[in-house]
Amino acid sequence: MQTFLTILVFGLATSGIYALMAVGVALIYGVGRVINFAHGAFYTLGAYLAYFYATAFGLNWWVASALAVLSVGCLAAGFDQLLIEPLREHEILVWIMTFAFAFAIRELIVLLFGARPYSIPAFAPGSVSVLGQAIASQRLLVVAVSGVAIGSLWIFLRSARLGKALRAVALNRTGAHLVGIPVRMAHATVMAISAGLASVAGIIISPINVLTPDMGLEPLLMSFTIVILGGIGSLRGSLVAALLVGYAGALVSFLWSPQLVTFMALVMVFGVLIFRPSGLFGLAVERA
Amino acid sequence: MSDPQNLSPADRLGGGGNNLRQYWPVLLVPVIGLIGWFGSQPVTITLLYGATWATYAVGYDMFSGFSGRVNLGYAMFPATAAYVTAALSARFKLSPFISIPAGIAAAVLLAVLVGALTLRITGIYFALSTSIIPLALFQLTHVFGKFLGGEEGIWGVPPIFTDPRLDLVVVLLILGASMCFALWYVRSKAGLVLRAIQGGELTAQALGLNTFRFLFVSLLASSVIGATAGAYLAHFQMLVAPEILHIITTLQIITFAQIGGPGTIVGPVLGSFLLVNLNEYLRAWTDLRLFVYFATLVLLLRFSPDGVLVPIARAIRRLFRRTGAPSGPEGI
Amino acid sequence: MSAGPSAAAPFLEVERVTKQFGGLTALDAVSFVVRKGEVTGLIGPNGAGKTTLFNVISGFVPPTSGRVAFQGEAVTGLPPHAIARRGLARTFQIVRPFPGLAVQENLAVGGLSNRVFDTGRELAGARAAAEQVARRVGLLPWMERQATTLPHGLLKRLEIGRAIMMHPSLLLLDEPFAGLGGHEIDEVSDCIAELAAGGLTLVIIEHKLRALMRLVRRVIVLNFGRLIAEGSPREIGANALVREAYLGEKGAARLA
Repeated sequence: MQTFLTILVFGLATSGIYALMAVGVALIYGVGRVINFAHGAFYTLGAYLAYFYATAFGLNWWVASALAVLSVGCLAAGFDQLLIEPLREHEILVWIMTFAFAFAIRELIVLLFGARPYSIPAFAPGSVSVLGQAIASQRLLVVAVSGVAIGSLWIFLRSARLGKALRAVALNRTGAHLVGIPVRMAHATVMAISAGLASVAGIIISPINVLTPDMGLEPLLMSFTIVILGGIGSLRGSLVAALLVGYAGALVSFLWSPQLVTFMALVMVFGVLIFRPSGLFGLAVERA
Repeated sequence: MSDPQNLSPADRLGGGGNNLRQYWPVLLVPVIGLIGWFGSQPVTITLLYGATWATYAVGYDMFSGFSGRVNLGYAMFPATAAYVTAALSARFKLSPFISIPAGIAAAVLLAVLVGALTLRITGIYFALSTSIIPLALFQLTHVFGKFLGGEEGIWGVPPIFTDPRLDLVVVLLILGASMCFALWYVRSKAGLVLRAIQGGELTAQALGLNTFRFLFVSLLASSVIGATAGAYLAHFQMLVAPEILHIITTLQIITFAQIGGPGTIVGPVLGSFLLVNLNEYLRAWTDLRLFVYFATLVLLLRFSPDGVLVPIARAIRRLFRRTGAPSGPEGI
Repeated sequence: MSAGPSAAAPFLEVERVTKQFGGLTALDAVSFVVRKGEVTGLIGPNGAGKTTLFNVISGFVPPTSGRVAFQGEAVTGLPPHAIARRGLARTFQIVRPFPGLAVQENLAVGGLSNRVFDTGRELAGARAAAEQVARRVGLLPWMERQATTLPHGLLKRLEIGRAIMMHPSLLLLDEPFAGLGGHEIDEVSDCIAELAAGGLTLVIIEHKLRALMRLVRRVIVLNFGRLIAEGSPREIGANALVREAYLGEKGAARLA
């Protein structure tokens, strides 16, 4: 029972982080048709900025975090408009640009903070006893925050004008343009939202892991994996896949070794790409 | 191009142009060889890496630059060859004359497997599925850490020469041979078919072309080129590190090809030497180095999306035309 | 005027071909026969399944059930390139010229074999053959042109030219007049008529009925995936079902 509870929460927390990352990837691809290799950099940058704002200006962690998320969002929007927009026609160039930008950010972080790992104190220290099992409060916080963030995004996309505009652009860019939706702003907005979500993920998980300049690589890989599994272009698919992968990963981690988690994810993805490229919820794909 | 609507003979794939003149880029090889032979050791080493990356870029470009199918996992070929030759020669003490061909063979086998599985999938899914393979292989090097070295890779790979200048000669020969083959291939019927596949795979099939076969053979050829350079790298570096399997490696290759000018074979070669040298030049800047490197990349991409080669070639052509010299389209 | 239909065996046989995409039935037990030398029209409202039928016949889409035979041989389920090499060629409604290649090279692609390695002889031969075909479809003056810069009417002829490079015995034309006006239609129409006169068997999907009727002796009508009528243009025009589904009064007049 106790192991079950631990796995339950562990899996939920992992899924939550994955979901935050994957949803961002899905959004940027769905609306902007961009594969963003810099996604991990936003995750990392968010965590470092939160640490920076908190220590350099002595701000409360929550305030520092909020500021960090905002900063990353603005940076991402700027990145989209200044560096990606001129290249949007050429898919490959955009990939290279996001990759180069990701590394530029990484090197900047190394320059400013050094390459050594930083340890962050938990926002929600200690643990909570649930049904006799001690669960780290930080992990519960992760579950809560990711749930709220994704929930808000869902509502935003369904009801808010801007949200609906984004969905329109994802469905048919030309059509959206013709009815007067500002497509450029839509692109910048999804980039900002996506980066914001990634930075949230980076911030809330940082007390559990440590801060290193390369911390974003594994979440980047996992988020792409999940989006493919769920079906490129389907947000619902990303969420379901995040849960699946999160739990599969938690199980593999507990039963065998954490090292095998990535391998498992890769095998899953490869299988999906070969046999059912559309993923769980995506649209059917033409075969050559 | 002089006339945007008509294509000059040299621009036309599969036709026109003097047969031997199209191989001019191979002349770069002896030039670089001379620089490396008479230059200082650091120069030779830099050129060694430049030539290796250039070979990777040629192998990548001959397939992806022409068919439009982005092989996001290209690094799997040099990496497999490097790991196999390293394992066989360092762990099992086999002679490099056996282990290097074995490494290349292993890479080709991988290409056969990957080709059979992924070539029928199109578009972005092809890029994604090929990108997964090196990542999976990366995991395998950790799982089979005893043979494959895990985090540290394989050390103690026996070198073939002690003088790096001799290594440079070999690597340049590999590069030169790869360029000759690639230049021939892309101007031959196969290159035309690859271009047709990029332009419209379904149309090509409707014209009776077995697109899978052309893509498959091209992928194999592309893998041989990368594998040969990768296998030799293991021996002149005397080690293999798992970083070679990172997606960054393939992204770098793609970047070199893109900055140089994709779909030209010579562009990727120039792009590789340019960027590898830039990286070396920046070593003096120590801490700032990588940041400046990637920032430069970002700027290059932003302001010269067609790559560096094409605008330069165009400028040179314009220059010749203005001075009235008869170097027309047959030239560059 | 097309050569009289051969009394011999059917050239192309489509037998109870059905195609379902998930819950949607695109083709419903469609059966018909085309004889050698015939020029047949295939009409019907948008979404009736005409292009899907071409896709099934030419191998791009496997049928859910049913059979296609060409020159007596079953071709159902064969890959598109194999069917094309048996002499059954098709064009696409939206022409995609190969970018970066001149018209001559675009045509030459159609004349290539599936051998990957070539000393250059085959390519040279294909380019020469391309010149012949270019003459037949009237594209000779544009050989050096980048194919993507051709005006629409010439693109349509390029599409036909590419298909003829394979020396097909049967050609499926998907809306050869789409997007064309006035004299462009006449030019393409003349081109097609010449091919028919030369003995090429044709099946043509079209919406421009007046232009189509100048070429065909027989018409097949599809609606909602089902073959609802078959016969001479006049018979089809008089058919009440067809009128209701597709033609209307004006359209019927065009068929008379």
